[in-house]
Amino acid sequence: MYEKIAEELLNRLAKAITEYDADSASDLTIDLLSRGIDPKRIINDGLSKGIQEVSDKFNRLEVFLPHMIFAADAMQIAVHKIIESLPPDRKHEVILGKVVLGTVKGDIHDVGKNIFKTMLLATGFEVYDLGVDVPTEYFINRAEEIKADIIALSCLMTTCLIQLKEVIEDLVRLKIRNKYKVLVGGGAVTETFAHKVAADGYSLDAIAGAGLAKKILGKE
Amino acid sequence: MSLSFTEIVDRAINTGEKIEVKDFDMKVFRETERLKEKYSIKFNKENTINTNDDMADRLFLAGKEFYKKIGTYVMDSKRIIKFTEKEIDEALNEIPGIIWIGRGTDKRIMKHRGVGDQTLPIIQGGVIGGNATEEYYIPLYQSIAQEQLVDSIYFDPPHVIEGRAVMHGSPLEIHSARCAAMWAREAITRAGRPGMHLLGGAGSAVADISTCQEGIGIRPSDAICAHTTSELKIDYDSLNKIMHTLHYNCMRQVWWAPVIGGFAGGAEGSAITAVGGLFHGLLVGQGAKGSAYFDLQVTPYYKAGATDRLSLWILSIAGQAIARNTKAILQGTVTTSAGPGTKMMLYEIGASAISQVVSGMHIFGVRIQKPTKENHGTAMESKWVAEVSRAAVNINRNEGDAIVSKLLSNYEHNIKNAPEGGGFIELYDTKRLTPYEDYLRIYEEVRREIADMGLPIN
Repeated sequence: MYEKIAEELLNRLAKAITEYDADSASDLTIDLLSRGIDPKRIINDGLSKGIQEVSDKFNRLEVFLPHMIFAADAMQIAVHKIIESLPPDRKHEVILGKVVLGTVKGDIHDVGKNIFKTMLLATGFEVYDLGVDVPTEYFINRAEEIKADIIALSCLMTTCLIQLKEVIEDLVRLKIRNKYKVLVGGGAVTETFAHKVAADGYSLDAIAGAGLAKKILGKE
Repeated sequence: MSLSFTEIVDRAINTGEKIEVKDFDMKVFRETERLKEKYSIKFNKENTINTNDDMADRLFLAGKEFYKKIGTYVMDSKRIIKFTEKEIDEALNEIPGIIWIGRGTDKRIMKHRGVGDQTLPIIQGGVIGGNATEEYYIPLYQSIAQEQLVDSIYFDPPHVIEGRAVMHGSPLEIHSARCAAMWAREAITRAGRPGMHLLGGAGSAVADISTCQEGIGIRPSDAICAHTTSELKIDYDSLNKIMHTLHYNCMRQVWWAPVIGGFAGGAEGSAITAVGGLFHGLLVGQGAKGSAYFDLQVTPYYKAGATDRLSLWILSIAGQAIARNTKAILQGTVTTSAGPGTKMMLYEIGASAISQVVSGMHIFGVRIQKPTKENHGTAMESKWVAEVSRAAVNINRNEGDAIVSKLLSNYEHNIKNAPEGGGFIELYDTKRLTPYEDYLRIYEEVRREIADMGLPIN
């Protein structure tokens, strides 16, 4: 009986995400926590299930980027409730990692970056979006400040590709290269270029990129 | 009285309403969602080339209402440049509908084209974003210029100059851009077409402006690109280019590119944004002044060139909406998934060119969505797009749609795994500037196939 109620609540939580209903997602999460349901189960069987459904629809062009953002926002609010309920030493269990993200200096394109950000949030990452036209030192300073796991660099313009190299070169120069995984992507970036600048990962598109971020941190 | 560009820039810098970019993006989404219902805009995947005039006209009204409500977002100042209905209507009335590009015997008249118009479209060829290298720059562009059906050439600078990687906004970008302009001019001169109209896309404003020089670079009879970031965003860099072209008195290509699946939504929302972009081009891009032409691109967020059914429909209906309701001179960009030397790329070029020419557009292309190698393009694609476009003026939209359906059946299943093809070095004799036999054979085969499909290509 107890298990049946839990299952029903988890299904309703998944549905709340697919309906972008942040209030219901928050209430259901609190309810599930109060019933002693494991936070990881709330995420895997409720929130992630819902976001996966929205993500699948996004891939089929049945919904669009704003819908992904609405769903990811609802998920974030629910995840925040879970984090609040956990003791400090267990909070890391529900966050896959911290990502500092931005479009490199000279490049003002943000649609691809925004899709990637949304997919990261939906996957369970904490994302620090620095926007577009971001100077090298901003990426590094912010990553140091928040103790990031990943620095993700987006680039659409070929003449800005050199900025990817700049960030990685500065990380090496400052002797902090090993502290971060550097992911690169965007219209101008190719796998060959990613290898050339010794990035840790390259993704052809934003959706695959979120999976890569998980893989690279060993969180698959 | 016409609105001055100084007043528009003042709105961009000082007086426009301030708003965060994410709020602007969401406003774009909400408005396109609302307007697609209000004006009953509906994508039909079985009718890639739109044949519904009433829907094209409704789309025009939706695009106009959209732009009036949204305006153009200035990324540097976070302000919105907005216009009144009266200002928008005045700009619409001012469009001259005809401009002259190039010089001497290479001068071309570029006129507004209507839907089903038999006026030949202007073909602006080139290897767009194809990373032409210093070593092959002149032969590559000379080979394009020697294609007599190509009216004008687009060029962008090498990414490496004298062995050094070029960085956006740096002195090397200026050096690369100026060299590219000189080489492009030498290439057209060697081809015996020294007055041919050149369109430069150097990158940053400082680089583009540095190419503007009578004699060796961009002349007043040429143009530079003024970019728009999706959706309907501009930065000071692009405004600087526009201001400079007004002072220097050369032309501009003002382009915009709705992202399918992004903040404009799906097919219908992207089509509304595509038409909305025209008003941005007219007012912010100063297109109404008679010194600019417009270019509409479509960018699917997913892995595809702009040759899937969604993209072709957007290009077609947005082109028709603009062609039927304004005198604007509009190009459409031909963007492919596959690369040169493949049948698939030639099919894609055929489908895109037909869809756009019968819908009242001129042609800008060819651009590969994701170039992967140096010199990733040849003159053959420009020649092919010109041949198909010229033939397409002799067919109507229904006939065009039937041919495009047949072409789609040849490639749409491969869009996500399109072959990257070869580059100039693999596909052309770079000394004699002629295509190798293998590429010629593929071209001849596709030419016969498309003729069999009903395109009067001779």
